[in-house]
Amino acid sequence: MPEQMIGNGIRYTEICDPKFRSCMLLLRFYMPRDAQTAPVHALLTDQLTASSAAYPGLSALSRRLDALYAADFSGRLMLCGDAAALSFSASWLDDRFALEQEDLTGEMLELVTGCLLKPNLTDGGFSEPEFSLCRQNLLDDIDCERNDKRLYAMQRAAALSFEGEPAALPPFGERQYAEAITPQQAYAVWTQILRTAPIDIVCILPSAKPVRAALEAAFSQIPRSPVPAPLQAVSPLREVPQRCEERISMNQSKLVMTYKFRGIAPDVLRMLNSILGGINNSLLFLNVREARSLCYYCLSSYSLLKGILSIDCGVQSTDLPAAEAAVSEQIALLRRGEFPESMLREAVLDYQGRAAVRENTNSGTAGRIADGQMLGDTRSPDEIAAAFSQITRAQIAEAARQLVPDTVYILRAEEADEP
Amino acid sequence: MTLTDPLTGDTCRIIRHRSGLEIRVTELPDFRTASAQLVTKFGAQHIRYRTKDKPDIEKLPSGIAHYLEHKLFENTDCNASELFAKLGAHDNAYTDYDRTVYYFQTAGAFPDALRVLLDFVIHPFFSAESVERERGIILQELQEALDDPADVLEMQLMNGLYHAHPVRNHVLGTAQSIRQITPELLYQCHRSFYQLGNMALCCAGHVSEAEILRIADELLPDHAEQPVQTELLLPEEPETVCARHVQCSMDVGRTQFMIGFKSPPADGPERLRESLLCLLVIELLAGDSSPLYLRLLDRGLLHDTFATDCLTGTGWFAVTAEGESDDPEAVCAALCDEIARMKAEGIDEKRFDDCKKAAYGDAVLGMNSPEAAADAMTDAFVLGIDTPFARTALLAALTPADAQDCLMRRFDPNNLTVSVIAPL
Repeated sequence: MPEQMIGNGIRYTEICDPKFRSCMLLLRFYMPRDAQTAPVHALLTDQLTASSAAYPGLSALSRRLDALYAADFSGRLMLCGDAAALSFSASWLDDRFALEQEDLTGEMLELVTGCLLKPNLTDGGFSEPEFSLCRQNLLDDIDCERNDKRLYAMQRAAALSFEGEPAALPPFGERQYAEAITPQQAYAVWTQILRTAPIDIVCILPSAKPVRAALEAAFSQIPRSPVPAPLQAVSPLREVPQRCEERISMNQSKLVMTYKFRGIAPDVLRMLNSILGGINNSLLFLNVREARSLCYYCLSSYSLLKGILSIDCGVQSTDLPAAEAAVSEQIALLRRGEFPESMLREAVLDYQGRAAVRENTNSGTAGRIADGQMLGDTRSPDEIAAAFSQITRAQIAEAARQLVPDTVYILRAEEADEP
Repeated sequence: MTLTDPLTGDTCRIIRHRSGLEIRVTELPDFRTASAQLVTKFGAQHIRYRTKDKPDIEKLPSGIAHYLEHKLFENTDCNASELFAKLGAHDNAYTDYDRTVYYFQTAGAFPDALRVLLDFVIHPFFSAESVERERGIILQELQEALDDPADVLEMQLMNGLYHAHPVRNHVLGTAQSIRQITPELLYQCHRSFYQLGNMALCCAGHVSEAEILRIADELLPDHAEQPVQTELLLPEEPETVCARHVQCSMDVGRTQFMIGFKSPPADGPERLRESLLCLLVIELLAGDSSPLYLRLLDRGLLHDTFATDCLTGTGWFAVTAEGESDDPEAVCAALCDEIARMKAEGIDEKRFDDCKKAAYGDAVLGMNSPEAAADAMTDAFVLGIDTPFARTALLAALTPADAQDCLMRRFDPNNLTVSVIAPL
């Protein structure tokens, strides 16, 4: 893969693919998180994409992006192990489609580096009124965490499973710390990130353009002393599984069950997850949804960095015991290796298909590369599929036997939910 | 028929197969995957209809199109998803008010996956037992939807905007209507609306037109059946809204609102042009680069995101703005003031040009993947137009005067509904 270092701890990867009609630039900054910095990280994704010294105020940047043919510059927070990643992405139309022969690539590089490296500042902090609005947005996000009940249940289960670890912090942090953020503190956290965060940059272009040189020049102005972020932070195993039930006013109850593990090879875990609840015809889909009509969705997911596998489903309150038992049965089937041999092949095909579809967009390609770099796995999708195809039923069963029940979390519908 | 996008060079071939099925193909050989969508013009709004040969009005329980979508996946001996999974193809389906779409994406087994798609959609099999089993799953899907504030907000808005149009009903139906659905009703819907003459197959990506036609020849009848001509019966819908303000309470963090402006429906190419115009106008009025948006943020009337859209189908047309605010009525009043100002002072031409450029950028990227290209062809088919490339040409022709005209016709402050979800 054509990757190179363009600064101290700044990895740059560029792919040219003529099938795309737009350009994509992805920048990820990795850093540790704690209760105080967690809300600041969330705020920064908004603050740094709202304005810059060149485009101060709230609408100047939006208008510029409109004039650049719906170019986009946005940020989001990712939780990776016990670390956070500030992920910024910019996309813009390829220069060949500009109606007035504008240099869209040059304009966007200036805009992006301006936002990140030359923000709109007053008295050593982010300028008003943008700062106050971004902080208010953050407080709203914290207040609205319960809006999406499925996500909320997953977050509550994670908080319980990772109790005492940075990964237990809510995605947007806690309200009390968010309220206390000042423009100066937020900017200080950002300058610290610029100095110390390992940075991955991925650029996907339809044809070669001088992006690398522009970014190298821009980041060379920053004194850098990178500090590794705690990405791999496997959560301790629990001797006695815990249960927690909370009530909320809604129609459908949510069930989340987590299992922790040690020593399962990443590829085996990914195949196990596919067979259990990742592919279209997973054990959870066939045996919990289709055969017993217990739910509309029942899925599994995992984090290699935290060493956890989660299963979540939405069910009627009266069916919660049956759903929990049915999920446990599927784990038991895996442990005994009792699943059709064909599922192994389907899991490989499923991965190949998803990987190919992901490559249909430049954002998908950039995400795949950046994710691989984060996990230290830079194999191509074909190489990964080849490795998956070597995994056997016995390996899956052995891995399933390593799953240690950790948490059962129920978010129970407070009202009678007979539909 | 071959249609070419002069901007990108993409082509779309439209072939009427001898079975009556319309086949639309965009070959994108640079992509490794292929995408296929089989669409019928039967959706959630089809709950009253009449056939040419029977004068009686047929009434269906709401949600039946969606139920049928679920049930078609079941074959006599297996689920179609199992067959797709064996091929490594990713399948799914969705139901909207005016259509039901079955689709798959695949990197390497396009011919076999296409065979599965054509077979399971065209050959239904429902047993009483399997229809009953599916009811539990669909009721859970409905429960989930009823906990989704965005879903509830939009449904409530449609109930405020419309007196009688079926867009008032949730696509999934109600628990009561879902319980009324039987295998016989599902077969009746399939007979009436899944005739090949009412359907299209839209394929894009790493596909070959010749191969698609060969498979169609192999699996589809060699002649078009006498069509069961169905007529969608929509109730009389007044021009005015049903309710100015509709509200409910849910477990949400902040008050959420959606404002909708009701205006006369449009069909065919006119609907596309009017939608594009409305999107431009609402962006000029309240988009995140508009003076109004800034004022609302400044006054603390808006929180977080503020999104605008144009929602439309057969017999209905609404332009919407939604967000979070402690005072949705104040946001609505400010929006109406801005509409009045813009009507009096005219459209800012520089901002119009910028918004048009943004819409042009979106349009150019609209076909840049097999999935997006298949979506565009399906949309065009349901809209009753040939070309999936119409947006860029329509946009190029739009002027500030067109936007002003649209503003006058479709943004009536006396014909709007404010839908609100308040925290418990």
